[in-house]
Amino acid sequence: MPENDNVAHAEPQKEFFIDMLTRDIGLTECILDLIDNSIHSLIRTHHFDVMNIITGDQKPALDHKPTITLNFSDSFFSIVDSCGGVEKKDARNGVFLFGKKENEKGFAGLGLYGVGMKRAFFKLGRKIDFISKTNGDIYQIKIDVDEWRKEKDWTFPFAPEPEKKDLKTPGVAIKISNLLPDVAKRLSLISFRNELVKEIQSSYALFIMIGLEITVNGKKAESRLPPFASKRISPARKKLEVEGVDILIIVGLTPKEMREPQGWYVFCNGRMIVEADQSKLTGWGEDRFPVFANKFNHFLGLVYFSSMELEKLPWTTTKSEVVKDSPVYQAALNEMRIQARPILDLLSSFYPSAPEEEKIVQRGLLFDTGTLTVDQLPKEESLFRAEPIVQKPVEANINYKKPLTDVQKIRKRLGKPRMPYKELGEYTFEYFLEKECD
Amino acid sequence: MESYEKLNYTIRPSKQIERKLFIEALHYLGQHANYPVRNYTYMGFGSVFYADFIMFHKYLYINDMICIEGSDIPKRMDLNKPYEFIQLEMGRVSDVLPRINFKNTQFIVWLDYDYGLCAEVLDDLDNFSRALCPGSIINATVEAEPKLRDREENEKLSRQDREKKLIDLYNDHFDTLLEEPVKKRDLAWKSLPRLFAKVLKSQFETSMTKRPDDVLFWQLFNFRYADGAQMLTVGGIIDVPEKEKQLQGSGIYDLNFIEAGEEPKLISVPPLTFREKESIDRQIDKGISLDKIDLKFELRETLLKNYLDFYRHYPTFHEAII
Repeated sequence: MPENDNVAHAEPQKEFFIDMLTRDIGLTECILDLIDNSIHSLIRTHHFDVMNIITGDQKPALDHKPTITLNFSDSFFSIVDSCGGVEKKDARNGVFLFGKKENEKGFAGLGLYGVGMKRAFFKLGRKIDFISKTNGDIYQIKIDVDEWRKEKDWTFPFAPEPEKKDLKTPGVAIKISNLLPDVAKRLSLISFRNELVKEIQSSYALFIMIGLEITVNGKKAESRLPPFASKRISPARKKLEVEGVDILIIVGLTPKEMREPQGWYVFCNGRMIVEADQSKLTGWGEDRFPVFANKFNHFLGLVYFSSMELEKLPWTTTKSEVVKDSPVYQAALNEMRIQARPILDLLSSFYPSAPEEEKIVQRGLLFDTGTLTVDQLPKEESLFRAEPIVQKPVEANINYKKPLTDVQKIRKRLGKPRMPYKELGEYTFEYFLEKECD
Repeated sequence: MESYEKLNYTIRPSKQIERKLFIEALHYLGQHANYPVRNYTYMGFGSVFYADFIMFHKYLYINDMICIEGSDIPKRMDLNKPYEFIQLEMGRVSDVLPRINFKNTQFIVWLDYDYGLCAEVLDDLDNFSRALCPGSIINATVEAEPKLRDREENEKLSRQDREKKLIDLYNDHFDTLLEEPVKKRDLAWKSLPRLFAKVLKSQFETSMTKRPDDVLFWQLFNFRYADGAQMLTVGGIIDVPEKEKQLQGSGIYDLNFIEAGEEPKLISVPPLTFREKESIDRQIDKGISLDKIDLKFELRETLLKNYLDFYRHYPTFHEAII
């Protein structure tokens, strides 16, 4: 091909995708990207919205119990789901593209940028085996990354005869082998598995709550989302809509037994993006909003963003942070400040610089609570309420010494020579109170 | 100053003039700049007198009103409520804010504090400025006396210590809002309102940048007056940039009491008897000028000038036997 001297070339390079793009993301996030894809299929094929747990009166029902099973060791990584699979036509011209041509419309899914799955492949290993079964068809794609790197072509061929493997229900099975050395090392650690399970338990807390089963090397993930304190305290709930994105903010306190500090949790279409944040990202310590401190440990704020237009949601490509500058997030942040304020003021009042008896009694509010999980909360808009503790008059203990001769003088004046000291003290106190005070 | 020149601050004439000027400005905005203020919702601190609520209903025809009251006097507030349509919200601004629905409603907000500029005030203004719909109007009034909020501490400290403490406090609170740190000379009685006006304007403008939409703040009001303690009011309009032309073209900036800059306009009027007032008023012709007035009594020229500046809004008070 003759070189054209009048242009600067800007074609994408395979090295960039294989070696560079994978640097900006951690191993855990990559694996979560694969789970996101499975859930995306589940949402597409079952048309459910997990946000209904929080906003609707009923939990959305799933007709079968969908599962996502992860297995790995130092020699392979596999993820098998029963979430409906990817149709061949979508594989032909969509799912494997680097970047999306246009976003799917009509459901509030999790797949946005069209980069997560491929990035995960390259991050983990050099041999990939992808099988998908839908109600209509089954196909297999095998990728040898080192071979593919050398080819000029940007395609992955379908295998002529797909091996059926263990796919009984429609879903996707991915197996990655020839793991990169440091990936292999980390996947063999028990601590890695435990951390991954912990991440899954929070990131997909809402999905697990409605029946999605995720297992990691045999360990089943449980939904992990702190509950709200109830009884004397009820959380505030505020809805708003900004540029086609529904925003729901719930703020309250955690029950007394929750010791770990909370903060803000941010969700996009049901996926947790930010967990227990206490930083500027969620407004702490910015524009005179207080810096997170121990006294705010029980503060719990949830922010849900939901939209069928995925590009409008304030998430980054790694789904581990919010895009702080996005107008949608800015609008939410302004409302978060307003809704959180009365709660922080209340918590601050429990710990004044010079403690008053009354405030210490009110602090007891925190310790007399019931518990409500997010799906059990009332669904209508409400304000934060904390019912003050009705208290008995606070008593002070007075104790003093006086010369006996003076005490005798008072006894004599009263005509009660054997009046006990305590009674005498009370009598003189009350005398003063009656004669001198309003 | 002689005692007859002093003001009876129980009836607060300057405050009353300020309210009337505000009403006049809003009429002007309604007529010439296409702001349908009669459909707005008024929100303020009514106190038991509800003075601004009564005036804004009578003269701006507003009948959506929210009154915020921080003192624990719900019965008094309810008893004194002049109109049923006033919605009473008990609590501090930060407690009341979560209950306010800002969506699709344009507001006139006047936060009239009886203490000085502090972090809490700036916080309230910040939250309102971020939440108000474009087209809304916001005013803040604060005390502008160089003193600490804690009266006991204020009196206990020596002048130097007090000033030092104030400078530290202001620098702490206003830190990001000012180009230069607060200095001792800013604390002078005549300078402090200007400092506060700068801070308030800067706060309004900063809040605009924290909004998800593209809006600006245009300052219209910057008054200082002293019926008793010196007070400062700064306010203006929050709206989309496209409205700037309309606002400029309306001629509002030509009104002599509109102030977009940082030097507050002084509202100050001499107390006059009815006869004195009338003897001046009857000489007022089109194009009033100072030297055309033939004074029939003793009045310093500056006071006469002040009177002429605000004669249309000069309040007269009668005892009414009810």
